[in-house]
Amino acid sequence: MSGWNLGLALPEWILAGCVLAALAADAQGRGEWVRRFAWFGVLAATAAAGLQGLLRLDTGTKLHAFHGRYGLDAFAVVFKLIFGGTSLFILAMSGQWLSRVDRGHGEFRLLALMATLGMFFACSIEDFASLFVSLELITVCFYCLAAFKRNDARSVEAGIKYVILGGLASAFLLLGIAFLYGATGSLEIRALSAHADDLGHAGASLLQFGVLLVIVGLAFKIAAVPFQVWTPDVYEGAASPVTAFLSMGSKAAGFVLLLKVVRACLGPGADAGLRDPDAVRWLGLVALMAATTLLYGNLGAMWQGNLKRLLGYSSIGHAGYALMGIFALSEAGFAAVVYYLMAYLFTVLGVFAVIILVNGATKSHAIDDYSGLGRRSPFLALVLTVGLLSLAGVPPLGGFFGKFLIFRAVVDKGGVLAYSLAFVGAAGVVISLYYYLCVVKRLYMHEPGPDAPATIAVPAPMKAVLWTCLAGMFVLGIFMGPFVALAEEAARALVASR
Amino acid sequence: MTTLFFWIFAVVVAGSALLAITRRNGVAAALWAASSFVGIAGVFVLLGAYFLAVVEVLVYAGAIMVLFLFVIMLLNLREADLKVVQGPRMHVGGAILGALFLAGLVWTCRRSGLFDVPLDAKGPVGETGAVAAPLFRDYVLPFEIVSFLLLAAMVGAVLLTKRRLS
Repeated sequence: MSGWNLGLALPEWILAGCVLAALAADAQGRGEWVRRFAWFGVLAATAAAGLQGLLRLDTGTKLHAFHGRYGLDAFAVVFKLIFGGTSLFILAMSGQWLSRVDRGHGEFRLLALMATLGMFFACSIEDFASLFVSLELITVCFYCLAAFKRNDARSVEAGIKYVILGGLASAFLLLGIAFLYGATGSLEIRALSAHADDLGHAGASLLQFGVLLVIVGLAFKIAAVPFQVWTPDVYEGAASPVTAFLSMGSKAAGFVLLLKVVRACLGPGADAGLRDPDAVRWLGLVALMAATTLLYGNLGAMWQGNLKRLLGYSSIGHAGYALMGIFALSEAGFAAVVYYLMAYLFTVLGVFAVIILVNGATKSHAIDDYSGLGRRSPFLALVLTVGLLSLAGVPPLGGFFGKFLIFRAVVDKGGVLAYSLAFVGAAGVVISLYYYLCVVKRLYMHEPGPDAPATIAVPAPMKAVLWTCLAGMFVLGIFMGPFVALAEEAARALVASR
Repeated sequence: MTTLFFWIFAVVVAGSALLAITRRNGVAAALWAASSFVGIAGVFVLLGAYFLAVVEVLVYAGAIMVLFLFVIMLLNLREADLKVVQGPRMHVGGAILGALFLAGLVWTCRRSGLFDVPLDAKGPVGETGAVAAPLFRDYVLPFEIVSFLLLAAMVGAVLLTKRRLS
């Protein structure tokens, strides 16, 4: 527990070094080197995280650095791989998009790199002070990225909306942390677990209020109802690679931290199934949040004519499904959340890659302008179709298996609350099939408009992204064995850390 | 006695904060915010955290608020607002207040024997050490993450405000 053990934070050291090197290169006006440092940083940090997982971690161990403020276990490693993968995709996708923008190339890559650094830290933090600053690091980068197209009114609007509501959420989070510090006398997240029994008692209002406020702050990040209002506007206004990064990276970071806090709230017991469900009084709140989130997201998406806005609503819905996995409060439930996010990574980034390419040719995000894409660019239409079907949860795709694991964990829990939540979730899946299939219908059944561009050219990095995402969706839906094992390993490490 | 002082400071903090967000004039709002910071410093004194109290006044009420005021005044240069801070009465009043403050400072230092302490004397570590140890040992990780956070904010500010980015 004690000791500096600085080498353990190797991925973060690499990323931090590359941020500084890229900054120096940008100051010298060497844009090419910023790009190289960004690529090298993310690649090397991801590889380092993976190697650490293979070489330094036995099953169930947790290593500490920075006097116990930094922890490395399978949970952290798996999420670092997810974040590293996300950043690699974003870097690959943004190259094509940045070539259409005449300025700020270095700044874009720097901010993306720093957001990745924040995400890596978020995986390993052990106390609330680090939780807050790593979350802020991610969010500040996204504020600036959302307003990146500063001469586009909608992008600026997205940035301002995000900054104001995000600031409010940060204030709630900070107040909650202060309350928890007052209640437990410690900033460490695991100090919460010693007080877990009090969470259900009327006397511990300071503790309850603290946990509630922390969850409010994190629910903003994952866009859960009632803290979701910013999502569609920001998703629509921000540039497409930023939206892609936001919908995967920012959301997954929220879930990493939420999982850590929820785990601490469950008490020090090492066994999963963790506690007698009736003892966890706040479970009803999680169920309500999950149900309203997935209904709001899926119902809201039905009437959207803008594909990015539709994906904004659908991302709210997906936060609802992942919350269902947290509701299960079991190792299987947590593993399902991890797997769901893995599948979401390939699915949503594949969809956004197509959006970037189509927008480059049509300058539009309207669903009408996707008419007849199947005839004009069959490959793009195929990736988009497979991605949307995976989002809806159609077998044999990754999205289906993620949903399957989540529903199984919820149903295994048993009880009226769990069954009703599963029912609401199933209703959400049916609704989402409708609006995803409406888009697919437009791709194949409608005639392309008169001024629609013919075939859309796909540059090499984008081709790699599209093929990887396509392969990822099928692999996670068919050969899921190793990935399920990885997710289960992560969940086991999360449950064991106390 | 402590309770009484606490309530005084509490009213100052909450009242000033309320006034800070209700004033239409940006300068007045910033000054009320500074007053709120001074109240918080008073609460720190009551808690025995003298170092934090000093830092609160120096950094928040001092440096940051002055910066705020500069920005507000430079951005919002309206005649009506400027009249408040101009004119001979302001100059005379400012000079008197400044002189009073200086006198108070000198008087306090003489009384506490601060002038008699040799410059190279080694005092007890005291609270500075109590702040430094957690900051640079236990919480060095969040402390360093904050440095990247500020870097990100700086890069973002350049991105969003610079007139021409090549």
